[in-house]
Amino acid sequence: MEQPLLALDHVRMDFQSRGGLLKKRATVRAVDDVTLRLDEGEILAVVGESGCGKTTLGRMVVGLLHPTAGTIRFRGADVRTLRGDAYAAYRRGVQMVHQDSYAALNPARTIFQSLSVPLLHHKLVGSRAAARERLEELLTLVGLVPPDQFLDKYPHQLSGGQRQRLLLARALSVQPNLIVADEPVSMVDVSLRISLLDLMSEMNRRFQIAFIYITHDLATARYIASHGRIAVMYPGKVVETGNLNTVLSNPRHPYLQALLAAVPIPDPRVARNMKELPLRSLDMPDPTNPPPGCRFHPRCLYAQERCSQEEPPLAALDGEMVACHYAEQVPTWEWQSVSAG
Amino acid sequence: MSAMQDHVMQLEHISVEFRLPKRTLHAVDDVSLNVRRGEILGIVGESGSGKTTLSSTMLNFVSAPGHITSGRVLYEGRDILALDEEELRQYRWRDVATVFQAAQNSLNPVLKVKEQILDTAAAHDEFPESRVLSKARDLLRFVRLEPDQVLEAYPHQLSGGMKQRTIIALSLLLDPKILLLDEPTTALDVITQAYVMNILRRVHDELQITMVFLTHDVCIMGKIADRIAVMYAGQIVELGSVEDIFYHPLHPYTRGLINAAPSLTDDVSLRKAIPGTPPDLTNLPEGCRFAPRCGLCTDGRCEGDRDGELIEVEEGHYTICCQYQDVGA
Repeated sequence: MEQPLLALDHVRMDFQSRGGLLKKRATVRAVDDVTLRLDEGEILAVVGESGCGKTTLGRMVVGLLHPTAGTIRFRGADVRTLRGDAYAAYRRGVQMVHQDSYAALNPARTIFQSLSVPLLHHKLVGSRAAARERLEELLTLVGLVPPDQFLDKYPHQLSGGQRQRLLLARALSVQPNLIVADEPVSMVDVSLRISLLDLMSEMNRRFQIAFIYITHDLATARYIASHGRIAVMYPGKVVETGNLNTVLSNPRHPYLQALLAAVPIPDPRVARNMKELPLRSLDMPDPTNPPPGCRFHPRCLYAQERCSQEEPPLAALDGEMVACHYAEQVPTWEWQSVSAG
Repeated sequence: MSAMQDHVMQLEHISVEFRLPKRTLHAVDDVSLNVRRGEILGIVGESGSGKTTLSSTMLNFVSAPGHITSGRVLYEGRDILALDEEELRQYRWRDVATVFQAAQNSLNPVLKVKEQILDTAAAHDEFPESRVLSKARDLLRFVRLEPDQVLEAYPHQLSGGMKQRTIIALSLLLDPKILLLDEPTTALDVITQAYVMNILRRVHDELQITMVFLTHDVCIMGKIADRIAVMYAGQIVELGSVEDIFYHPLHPYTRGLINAAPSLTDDVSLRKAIPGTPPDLTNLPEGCRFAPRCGLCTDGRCEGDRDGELIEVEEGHYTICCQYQDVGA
């Protein structure tokens, strides 16, 4: 097997909650024993609800957080052991695009001032004049034309969609191998989302940049990663992963089935025939005190005794990986089964 | 009088302007809209389209520096814009109640839910406490919450979905005729959103309450709305039944919006973005405001003409587009 671009091996991330006079410090295991790999130029969609650990996972990949246990390898090297130039190459090679484009840009600096820093820092250009030239190319690339109109503006003078394009340009400017995009379109207007997703797909194809697309939105994940893979997370764990089209056309984990049933369907006739959510309860588990056994069992329609005692491992099933004891018995999912019409 | 009985609220030629230091922003421009009794009316538009501003005129609640420059808001035939402070205070919540955007944050963090409910009731002269609380219990049960747990809780002890349902229950406390919902599910997770939508549907069906539902996400309207008004740059560009809007839209923006939303069932390659960005509301283009982004725009027909009147193409189905015959093509 070829060496993957990125490999997560049994990665765990614990956070300590603040204790108080009468409250004991609690440990939140945001990410628990996650193993994933990503090849060069691949797109991986990480999907889950808020609190499932998907953002923590992304922040560990770019090096903003150090895992409590487990290793993250970038092109074969454990990122914890990297020093000097090798560390700089990793930090340059893995870039992040944030959800809130306004918070991600310094409001007191012009676009040029913000975006020229990484170019000069990584010595990708020799001078400010060269940086300006390079940035004009990059802004053109992300569709901000004419570029000289944008470079001297401040972030508040741009729209949300334009700022999100800038963040992509900033990530691209250092010629990364991997971009971690954390909910990049959820704050952007619906009519502009598709064009941003298209832009990311184009970057992926043209420059062979791998993407980790973190989202709560299965529909946009399906759009951007249709040739890629998906990993579905449920508090701290990957519960189902595989080729995106395979997973979404035949979801095996009861949680993913519930998530799919919750996605709004625009077509009024289909939408009005949807059944109730296939869930026993609405509440996410308490992250400081996850239920024993399978974390999903208190909400699962198909849970049996074993599910509350034994944690199901992520195991191969028809070419996918699913963490469910009874994955083979769970009724297969069909769109017809939710739409009576 | 039949028209009056049909419409619980009528907005007539409403314009709202925000006077900024050097320019004037036209947030809502000459919009007329009737709300039918008992319906769920969806108002769909992107940020800056004017939907929140329009809905705030229904409460005469436009925040400074904005003000209503023309038009009338009739509730049961009564002009809301002519009410004095005290009349308005009684009108709000008792006649028209609102669930605001990010409603999770509209609960007071230092008060128990119970205290907030009693405050609201007292402000509207609802007594005695025991009766108010027993009603609150019924409403909380109605939105599938456990009253004993919720009433004694502080907001931070509730999850986002629970807070949102608490707010919905609270909004129903004074038996309003109209419930105004501004992006009620936007900050929620998918599963919670689906659940809250089901609850809203149930609230509507059982109480026969009129709902005005504001959202940027046209997809969630398919399940719940009876009629949909699509807003763009301060105008209603299309109005029709939910079937009209989804199955044969008559405005290129509506069609674009539906085509731009990725879904789980369609062919991904059919999704198309709308090119360009919405216009600057302080510097609107002459003629059709969507023309610069529109594939159907024809020279001579779409520019220059600023009347912006809705045309009734089929019964109850209106569009502002003069090229509507070609939208379906």
